[in-house]
Amino acid sequence: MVGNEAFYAKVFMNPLMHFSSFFQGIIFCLVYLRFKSERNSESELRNSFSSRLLEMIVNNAAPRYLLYLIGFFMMTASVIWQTPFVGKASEQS
Amino acid sequence: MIWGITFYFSWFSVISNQPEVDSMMDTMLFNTVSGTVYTVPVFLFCSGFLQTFSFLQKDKEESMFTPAKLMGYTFKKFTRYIPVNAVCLLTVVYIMPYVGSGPIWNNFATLTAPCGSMWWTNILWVNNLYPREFDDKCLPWTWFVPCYVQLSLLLPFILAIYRLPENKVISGVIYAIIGALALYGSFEFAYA
Repeated sequence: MVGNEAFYAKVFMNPLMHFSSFFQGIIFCLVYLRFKSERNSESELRNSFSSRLLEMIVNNAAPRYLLYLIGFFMMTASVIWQTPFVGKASEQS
Repeated sequence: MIWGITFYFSWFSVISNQPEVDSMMDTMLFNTVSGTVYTVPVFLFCSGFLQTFSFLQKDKEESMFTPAKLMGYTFKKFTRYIPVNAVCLLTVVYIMPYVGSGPIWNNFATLTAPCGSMWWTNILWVNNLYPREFDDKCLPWTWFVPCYVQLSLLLPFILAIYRLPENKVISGVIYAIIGALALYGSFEFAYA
């Protein structure tokens, strides 16, 4: 394992590095709140694209399970991908 | 996460079974340790989600976008964890040196030496940015809390983009630009 304190201190600790994750959390919450407020709306025209998309995922098993599968694949792939970088860090370019 | 971070920090100290640890690193299961770095973005994602939820729930009852409310929010976010942080700081600097002894115990004093002059950076939530060098920072492993506070202080400005324009398409376009720049900035920042 290679300890890179300079990267850790100058890049990883910087909030700019993590802003995109925080921002994605905000956006997902706004989408969720819109979905929540429009879910029981009488008029279909008042439904936004994000609400209709979430409604479609909630009510249809096929896209829902496909998304579960993609999520599981991405998590597993990220774990497998990083193994050589951790095990033989000095050999990586 | 605590387990993984503890592992990382003890890595740089004395490990008696170094060859065993080296062989462990080649295994897939070791990723449960090294993968803990990925929990930070996940925590910040959850933090952004929950803080937005809480902020907009309060905004429903009475507008949060008034100078008084925004100042109150900023003050609360800034001061909320200061007492806990101060207790941790005082414990590490003034109590911990007296609770142990041994041939490598002086490492502890070296590790906490920057706190003598840089303690204020922890109280003002800037110790993740200043000083720049890892060894000059006071308790560098506490960087997550100032990072969280700094990002939280940006929240009202980001939500104002959604809340204030009548036409939400404008908000969507601005968010798309911010999102793209943030993602590009993260990669550029990390790999430059």
